[in-house]
Formats: sequence, structure tokens, C-alpha cells
Amino acid sequence: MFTGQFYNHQVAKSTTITVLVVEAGLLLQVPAAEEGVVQPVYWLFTDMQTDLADRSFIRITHRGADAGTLEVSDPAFVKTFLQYYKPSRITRLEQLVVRGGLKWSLGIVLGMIALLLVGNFVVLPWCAGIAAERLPHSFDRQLGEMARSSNPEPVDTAASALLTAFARQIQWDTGDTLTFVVSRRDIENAYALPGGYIVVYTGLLKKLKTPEQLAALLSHEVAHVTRRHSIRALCSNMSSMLLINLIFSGGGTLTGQLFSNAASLNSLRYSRKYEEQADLTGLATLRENHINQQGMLALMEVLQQLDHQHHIPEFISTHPLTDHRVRYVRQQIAEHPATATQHPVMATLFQQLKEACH
Amino acid sequence: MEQQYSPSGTVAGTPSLSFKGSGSSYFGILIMNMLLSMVTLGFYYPWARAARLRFLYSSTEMEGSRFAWNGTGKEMFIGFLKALGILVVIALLVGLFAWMKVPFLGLLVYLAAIVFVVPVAIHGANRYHWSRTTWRGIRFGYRGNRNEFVKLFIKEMLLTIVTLGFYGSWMFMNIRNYVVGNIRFGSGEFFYEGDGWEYFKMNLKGYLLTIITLGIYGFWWQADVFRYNIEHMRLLHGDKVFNFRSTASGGAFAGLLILNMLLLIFTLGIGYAWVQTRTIKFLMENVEIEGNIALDELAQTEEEYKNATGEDLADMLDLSII
Repeated sequence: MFTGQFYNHQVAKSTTITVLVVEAGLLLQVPAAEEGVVQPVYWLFTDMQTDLADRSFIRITHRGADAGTLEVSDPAFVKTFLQYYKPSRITRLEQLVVRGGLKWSLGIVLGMIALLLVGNFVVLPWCAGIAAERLPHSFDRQLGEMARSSNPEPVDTAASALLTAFARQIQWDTGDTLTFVVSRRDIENAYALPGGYIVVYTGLLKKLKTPEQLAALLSHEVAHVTRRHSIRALCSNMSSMLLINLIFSGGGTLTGQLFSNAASLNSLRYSRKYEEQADLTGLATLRENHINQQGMLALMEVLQQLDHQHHIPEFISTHPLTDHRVRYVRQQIAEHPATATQHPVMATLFQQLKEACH
Repeated sequence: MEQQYSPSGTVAGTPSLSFKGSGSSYFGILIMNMLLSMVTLGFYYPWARAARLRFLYSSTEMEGSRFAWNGTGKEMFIGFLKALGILVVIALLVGLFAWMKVPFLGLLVYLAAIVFVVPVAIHGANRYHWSRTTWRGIRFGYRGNRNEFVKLFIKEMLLTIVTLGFYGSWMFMNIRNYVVGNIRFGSGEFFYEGDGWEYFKMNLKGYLLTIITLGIYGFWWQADVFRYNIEHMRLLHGDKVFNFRSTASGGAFAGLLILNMLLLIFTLGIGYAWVQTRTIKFLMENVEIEGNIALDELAQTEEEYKNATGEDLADMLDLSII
């Protein structure tokens, strides 16, 4: 038995009445027209509309013949009433939150954050992958050319010819036409543009000691090209924009968006995942060409030394050189032992290249 | 709470207004609204608005009974579509005239739209809004006449334009006198007696002092405006009356608004729900009602009105009605 305020919708008179929650409805002791007489009125759950402001106040409005409103400010009543009045009848979603209290609200906030995170880190990259797959290979080449012309490198023609001859000794498993270029700059770095334009700076060439190291470096860079890492990275960098594009224009302006980002290609940072993939693909290239896989490890030692020399290593930022990287390369070599043969032509070309760089 | 009747039937009435809504409940509603609006790409908006209003009204108490908002998302969605249709037609006409190289006609349509759509929206919004507001099951209502109001609005608007805005205070007061004067609370009738000259003087003083004091007087100006809004309103029922008084001082406004700002900044906006509930609580607590109306005797006189087109138009055009 609870008490509440009853309004008869005729006048704004507030009458205190007793109310009982029963099966399928409420039993109210409503005052009759005559003074002092009380008559029981039965309200069905199906004929009422509820308004829950918080967990201690509920308004129940009854439509139909004997319209009226009951207001109860009693948490105990609200609780009892809601037990009988099934949640499925609460058609207003926000009343669920009011019933649940702050915990529910915070839960929803967390849910929203989770939704955004999932969208950002799962759905968007997935869409970006699909978008990258759909782009034709000719697009890689165009993009690479744009990047080249927007950021021209001082090309050392003689050294580039030697590097190209060196690279020709290796069987590349790709449909792209690869171009190898030596740039005369004192930067200890190398990069690959989509479509197969690979640049090695003399600054890095000077640090390399064996032809195997150079072969490892080239196979790593070529792997970025064949695996289309630039396109993928670009797509995922701009994935939110791409998603909107895909939805609203069917991908029409997609290529345009990518082109406008071509200028940033040679400073593009790959994720560790892509670096690892390039390392492993590079190792496979070395194996297939019977080049000593240890060249990759030797290359990493050179890179690590560079890392120690410079306090703000430029190289490390684009190619994360962690112990982890050395470890999986070592493990991969152990798992896939391969015979290595001597490559006298490569050795000679390497020697000439070293001399040309000085 | 029962009122005390004296044998002659007069009531020593000082009904209290208070706001019982908790910030955390309101927060839950706002969050749910946000989530659903996000998921439905914004289509949930009318339902979100209904949920918000329902909570705010249900949390406001007068004399032991809560107010109620009976508007539904469905009504407001239909109204929203109609309002959108009206705005689209206007935009299309303006675009069509621009395309036909007669932008002058387009401008004319645009001006006519402002002059007619705004008052029609205010009228419709008031009809819907008050009809969907109840207290103890008794509906509020708006009895204004649309044509009369449009005429009044256009006249006041023209005078304001001709006087380069100086007439603004008078326009504002005359419109408010008309609108509030047509609001009914069951059989009770509201009145508003605003005076353009007084309102102008008050705002001029507030404006100048706020500049001189580098903004500090702004809080006192705010308190003056609030007092003006409240104290020129009356509720009449037969020969009985309720007067409204504001007890909010400039200092109290300063405390409220500064703390609100800090709350918003330090919670990175999450405290918005609490800021709003605090503000409403403050305003309700600072309104005093005094008079001899017996609230129990207010009778159901106003009809139900479920067309929310005006309400939605007013919302879209960002016109505040109360």
C-alpha cells in the first residue's frame, strides 16, 4: 500500500490517495463525486503512460473513460511498480537510463568511446585496405612520379647506373618497373616511392661494408613497393576522409585526395607491421637469389650503430630499429636456412659503387 | 501539500517553486540522446528533444506537484518534416529567382519569409508548447490570434527597422505583452505589463556600466533582466491574483555563472548536464509567488493542440519562445 497524489484532470486539486500495485495494473482509492465517499478504480498497465523523472518520482497518466493522473514521490513505489510494469512496456529508451542511474550513463559513455575506437582502429583500416586493393597498379606509378617531381633529388648518374647494374643481379618478383637511383646527399637513409622508384643516399651507401648489406637494403625497399605499403599507409592515414568519399561519391574523388597527399610520400612513416613485412619479404628475396641472409642482420647492425651515433636519429623514426626487429630476423633466418653462393659480379659492382661515392 | 483555506475562501498563498532534477539523471538522458542521435544519423533529434523537455518539466515542482511535458517525439518529428518542407520551399524559390537572373524577386521572397514565417513560427510554437504543458493534469494554453500576431509583429518590425533598431526595446516588450498575455494556465490567465522605455533604460544602464566595469557589472545586468522578466508578470484567476518576484541578486548570478564556467572547463564539457540543472535550480529558487489564487480551483479549459510545426520552425530558426 502506497500513497500518492491523484488529479482528476477537471480541476488542479491534489488529492492524497492510497494505491496498490496488483497483477496487470494499479488499484486506486479515488474519491467519488460525493463528499467523503471513496471508490476503488482499477487502471490496467496497458492503458497507462508513465513518465519517470528519476528513481524517486513517477507520473502515471491514465487515458480513456476515467482519465486521471497519479504522481508518486516514493522510491519504494517506483521500484515495486517497475517490477510489475515490465521493462518492455517502457518504450522510451531514456527511461532505461533513468532507471539504471549513473552507472548506466557511464556505461553508455564507455560504450560510445568503444564504438568510436572500434570504428577508428578496426572498421576504418579495414575500409582503407579495401580501398587500397581497388586502386590499379598504374596509380602507384603516377603517384610515385608526382612525389618525385614535387621533391626532386640530386641524382648521381654514374652511381645510379652502377646501382641499377647491381640490382639487375637480383631477380625481383614484381610486375613493376624498378628504378634505382643514388642521390648525392649526406643523409643516412633510403626510401622507395610507389611504382618502384628507389632512392639511396650516398650518406648511407658510405656506411655499408658488404654487397650483402646493400642487397638486403634494396630487397627491403623493393618489398615496400611490391607490398604497396605507401598506398596502404596513405589510405589508412586518410581513412576517415576516404570512408566519407566511398559512401558519398562511390570513390570518384578518392584518387584526387591521394594525389594531393603525394608530396608527403617520401617522409611517410610506415608502421612497424609494414617494416616487419618488408624485412621478411626482403629476406625471402635474398633466399631466392642465394644471397647470404646474414646480410640483413649485418645491415641492421650498421643501422644500429647509426642510431648510437646520433642523438636524434632520423633513421630510427622511419624504420623502428628495435631489438625485436633483430630478433625476428634472426629467428626467420634460423627457420628458413638457405644456401648462399658467391656473387663476384655483385661484389665488383659494389666496390665500384663505393668508390664512386667518395 | 494542502493549502490552508480561511472561512472567507481567501488563501494566504505563497506557492513554492523548486527544481528536483539531479544532474546525473539529466546526464544519463543527454548521453542516451547523443548515442541514439549518433546511431540514427540525427533522426532521433525530435525524440531527444522530447526526452529532454519531459525530464526538465517533470523535475520542476510547484506546491508539491510536478509540471509535465506531454509532447512526443513523433509529434515533433512530423512537425520537423513540415517545418523543413516550408524552409526548403523558401530556399527553392530564392534559388529559382537567382537562376532566372531576378535576384531581386528572390530577396523579396526571403524578406517576406522572415516577416511571415517568424511570427507564424512563434505563434505555432506557443500554441503547441503550452498545450503540451500540464500541472496536476491541467493544461496550459495559448489563446493568441495568428493574424493579429502577424500584423503586430510586422508593424513592430517595420518600426524597429525605420528607427534603426532604437525601437527594439518597445518591439520586444509589445510582443512579450501580447504573447504572455495570451497564455492560460487552465482557467488562470497570465498578464505581462512590460514598458519599452523602462526596458530600454535598464538595458542602456546595464550596457554602459558593463563596459565601464570591464564586464563585471554584467552579472548585475543579468539579475536586472531576470527581475524585469519575472516581476512584470501576473496570473489572474477571477478576481484573484498571483504576483511574481525575483530574489536573485547580481552577486548570486556571479556565483552561479562563474562556477558554471569552471565546471564546464574542468570537466571538458561533460559537466554540461550539471551546469544546466544548477542553473534551473537557481532560477526556480529565486522566484517568489505571492497572492490569493487557490491553485486547487484552476479548472481544465484549454484544448489539446498537437501540431508541432511552429515549435520545430522556432527551434530551427533558433527563436526562443519563453
